Amino acid sequence: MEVQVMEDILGSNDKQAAENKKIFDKYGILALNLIGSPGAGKTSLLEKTIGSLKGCMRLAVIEGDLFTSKDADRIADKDIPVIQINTSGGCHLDAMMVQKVLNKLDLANLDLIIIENVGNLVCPAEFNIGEDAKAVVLSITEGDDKPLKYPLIFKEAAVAVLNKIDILPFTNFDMANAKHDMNCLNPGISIIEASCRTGDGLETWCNWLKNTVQIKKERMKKTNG
Amino acid sequence: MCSTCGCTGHGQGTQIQFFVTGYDEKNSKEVEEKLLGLPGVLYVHIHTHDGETTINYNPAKTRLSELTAVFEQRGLQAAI
Amino acid sequence: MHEMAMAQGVMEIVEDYAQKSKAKKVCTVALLIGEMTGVVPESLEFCFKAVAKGTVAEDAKIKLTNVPLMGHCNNCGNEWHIENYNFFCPQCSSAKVDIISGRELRVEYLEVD
Repeated sequence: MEVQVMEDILGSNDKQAAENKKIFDKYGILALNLIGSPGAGKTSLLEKTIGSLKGCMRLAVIEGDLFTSKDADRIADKDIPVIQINTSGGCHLDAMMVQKVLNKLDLANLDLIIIENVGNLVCPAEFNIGEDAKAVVLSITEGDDKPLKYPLIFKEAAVAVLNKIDILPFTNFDMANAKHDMNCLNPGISIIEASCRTGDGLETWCNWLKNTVQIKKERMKKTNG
Repeated sequence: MCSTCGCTGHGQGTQIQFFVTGYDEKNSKEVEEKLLGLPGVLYVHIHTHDGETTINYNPAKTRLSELTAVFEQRGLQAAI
Repeated sequence: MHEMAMAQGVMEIVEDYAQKSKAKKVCTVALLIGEMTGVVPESLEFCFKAVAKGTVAEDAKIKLTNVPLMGHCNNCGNEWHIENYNFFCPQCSSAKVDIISGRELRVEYLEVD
């Protein structure tokens, strides 16, 4: 017996991502995909962000790592819902992995979900997980040549956080160069210089988040009625 | 790529090489930056002196005509 | 390339449709593979055999149909087989070209028992 199929082989992640997005939209939740190399400062940025924002909005975090719950443990200290996904060797989160944990969150009572992806500047850029926006964290110690070397994530991201600017004087990181390259690749990208250690730039970053959450809520009000 | 998941996403990077006449230091830089700003373009390398222009791009995101328009807009001739 | 990820993608689709049609055994998996995907057929078959072990598609044959990379020129209407990723129209040299086939990566049909 012949069974007609006509289905795209690699379409399944995009399909699942669209399903995830429908869920986030239904509850008016802003979903942010946080991407960056291992050690760029994603988790540190999250720790600071939660501290500042939990007073004025309802947040949750989904942590992605190959192994361990180290990052989720750090976030758990902040008293907000956090879920750890372990990929057991996989180098990026995919839409199905995220979908599987959504029912563990009280979606009706959340404004913002930050999904911290596996430390990797390459693969996460290619796999949609249903997010509203991607944010990339690049630290000063990684070098100002990274945007051109990893063009896709810088093209995809709505915002780039340049972390560890407190040690800029001790490196040869050329800020003008890095910003120029990022603007070349993605003329619309917002660039925020920050230091999780000193607190510089964190207010700007939090304001960006607050603003983006607000814009989504207003858009969903118009759509959902 | 990655041996665990073999991920490269869909839509491969394609390399195309043009030979361009009319480059000078200023317009070759402009062309490089303009090309890089196109959504599907990942890498651009220009030899100003002989016009060799190598572009790695995703044809599913950016059309060839968008690449050639960048040269045309500056009065440059690009041949394959 | 990434034939293993594709083989897993094929397997998900095969299992889904085999279940829906209550198939006891999948005999053939017919795939449409566009030329621009750069898929190596032998690698895909090898990877598929590996992921299909112990499943309803364990002994399934892969029937691969290659879809040529065809361009359509919006300037003169010419349609031709694009070679070496040269997207310029061979008739009028225009770059206003659309790809009309060759990017497919699809499971076409299954033959089941």
